[in-house]
Amino acid sequence: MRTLHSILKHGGLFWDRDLLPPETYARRYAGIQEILRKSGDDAWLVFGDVARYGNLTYITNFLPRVRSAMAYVPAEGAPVLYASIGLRDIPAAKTLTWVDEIRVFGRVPASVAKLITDEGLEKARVGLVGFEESMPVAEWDAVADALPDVRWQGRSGALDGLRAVKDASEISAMRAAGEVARAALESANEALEPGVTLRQAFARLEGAARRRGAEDVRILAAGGSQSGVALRPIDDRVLEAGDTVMVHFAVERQRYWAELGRTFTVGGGGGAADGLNARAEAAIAAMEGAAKEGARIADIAAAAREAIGDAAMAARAEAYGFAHGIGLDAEEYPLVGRHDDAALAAGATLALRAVLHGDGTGAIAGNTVRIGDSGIETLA
Amino acid sequence: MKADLQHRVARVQDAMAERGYGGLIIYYGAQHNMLRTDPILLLADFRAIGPCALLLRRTGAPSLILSPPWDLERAEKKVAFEDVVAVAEDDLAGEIARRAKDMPEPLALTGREIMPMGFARDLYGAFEQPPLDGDDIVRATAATRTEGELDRITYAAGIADAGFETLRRVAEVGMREYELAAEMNSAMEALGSEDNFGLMSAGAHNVAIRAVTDRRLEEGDVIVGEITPCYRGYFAQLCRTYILGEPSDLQREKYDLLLRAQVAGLEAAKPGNPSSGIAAAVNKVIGDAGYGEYCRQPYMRTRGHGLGMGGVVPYDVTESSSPTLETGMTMVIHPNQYIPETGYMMLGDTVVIEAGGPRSLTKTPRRLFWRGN
Repeated sequence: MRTLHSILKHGGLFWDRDLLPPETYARRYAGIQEILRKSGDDAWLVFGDVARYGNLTYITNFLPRVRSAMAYVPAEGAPVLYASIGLRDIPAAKTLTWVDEIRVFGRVPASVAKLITDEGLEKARVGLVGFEESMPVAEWDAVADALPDVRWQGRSGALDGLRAVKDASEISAMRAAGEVARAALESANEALEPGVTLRQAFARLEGAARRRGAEDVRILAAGGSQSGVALRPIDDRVLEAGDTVMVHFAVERQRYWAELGRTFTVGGGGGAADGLNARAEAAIAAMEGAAKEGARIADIAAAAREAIGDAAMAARAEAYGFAHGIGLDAEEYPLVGRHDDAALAAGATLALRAVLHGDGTGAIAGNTVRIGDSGIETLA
Repeated sequence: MKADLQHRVARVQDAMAERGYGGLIIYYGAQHNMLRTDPILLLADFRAIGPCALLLRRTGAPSLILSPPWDLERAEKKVAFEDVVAVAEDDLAGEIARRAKDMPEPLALTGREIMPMGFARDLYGAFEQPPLDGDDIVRATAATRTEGELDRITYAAGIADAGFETLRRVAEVGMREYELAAEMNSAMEALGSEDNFGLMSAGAHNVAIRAVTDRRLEEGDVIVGEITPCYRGYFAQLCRTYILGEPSDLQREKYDLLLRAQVAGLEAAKPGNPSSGIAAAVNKVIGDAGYGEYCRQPYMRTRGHGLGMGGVVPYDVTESSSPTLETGMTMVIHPNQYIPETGYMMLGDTVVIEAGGPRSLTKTPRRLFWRGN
């Protein structure tokens, strides 16, 4: 789900090699080069920015905290990582990636033009991954002008299939991210007390996640009368006893995301939103029931609509998204509306979410799950 | 703030008239960035969640088209003008084009430098005549701060001071870097910080500032922090150095060099002076001490930068930077420096340029800090 973009990822940024061993990346890279060669391309450029970096990180484990980064993937041989950092930052960057060669991404067009020329690809077929979504058009126009004979190929979805199915190390990383989210929210009832502001309460919860090694935390919430309207970034609303507080809580740790949706009542006990919350949880249960190998993402959304019942309420809930892939990006393939017919595979990971508003109140339920051979596993 | 916003919109409209634009499309991808001005915050006082656009005619109030749709109510409450609509992200290009057809020609567009290729194809494809490149028409009007903006930056500077106080209070041997950063971040959020361009490094000999890691703090570590909280969209920055133990004579001596460099930089920061003069003054002090080669890449980049709602004039302060300083500009001046004997050390304050020179908004004393001191 879209959240307010942070100006910088300022949590713990390091590579836990026990969790995500270098061999994982060697395996991935071999699989990617195989797809590349089958495509008939001579090389790929894989671009990512601070908001969408899943493709790039899948290959390199590097994460651009600001601006952008790019991986050069030849049909044969090792990749090269370009990062928007200074020369003095290269030693720190090297601790995050298995890629040996890191180059400074100065001006993007000049860097790309030099790379293509140096590699003798001026008339080659070069695939572009992540460019449509992230590459600024002004920079791309300069690249295209500088390299008029390159046969550029759009390959935006080329890694979707590989990335959608997570291997054991990725699932471990997502479980760990989910555990951080769950542990942070354990103190929610204590933090959400009368008289404190939403900002003060969530400072505690976000801190609890960051103290456990979260590299990023994204929160949307709605407190009191806000819950009847919409989720929003944290503000300074003062909580009162009995207020409903809706919480969307997403944690990134070791590059992998997990998210939770929960509804709380300030002061504990039952609240005005109990009925809605039961309906939101029923929608999650229905989605979890529909999330099977071979099912379509659209089937999961349909299950949510049916469980919610009220068509207008379901339509509002759908604006937040019922289900989508989650992993290296907080929102990734498959997405309802864009990839409706894609069949879900065992090993796919999904964020499931039901955000309901009605009668001046609201409720949210949400889990991160893995589709297994015999049902789903809850990761968060 | 309402009068400020009207004034800013009027300034952009004046610039439109000068350039002969009938209408202006201001695109913003909502990827907030320390080096860029946020045009939606500047003209609407709204921090967007998703990609959005402001449509502006030469007269009258702007129109805001935002995404995602569920964020409409927040925008309607926050934005001072009436025409605010929300659409799904996939529908944004079409909605901009549809509404732009009712705007007077010629149309210009800003934001190509951040607009993704795919979105640009959809947007430009919807026009028979592509909009002109509006380039920096908005950014150029955002050089100086009003009283209302200054209040926010001053408050943010106070939050940064509190963040550093937290560092001094909680840093201890054995703590992981990210745990220390979490404590600082929480303390600042509780005071109203919405965001933080926060960097921190620790070690016996830092090469540069970097992201926090899982490294555990050790006795004698030099902790350098760049603390940059955001209050209601406006940033302030504090750079300081803290030693987890007693500083050596050498560390004290070299930190004095940074202090002298900062005094020189502040003296150069007067209205009418080029911003490059700040960098030249800082570099002269450090160069005269024998570290001239460490004033350049790869060791050093800038001696400060404009600061407000993301990057603003005078942008990066280097010896080749061109903007002239004006009364009301806000910036950070930081003679942070790598010194081979001690490693990287940091010192920087947020200031506002006034007629008599810079006034510091930072309250943390300018000195080297260490445990128990």
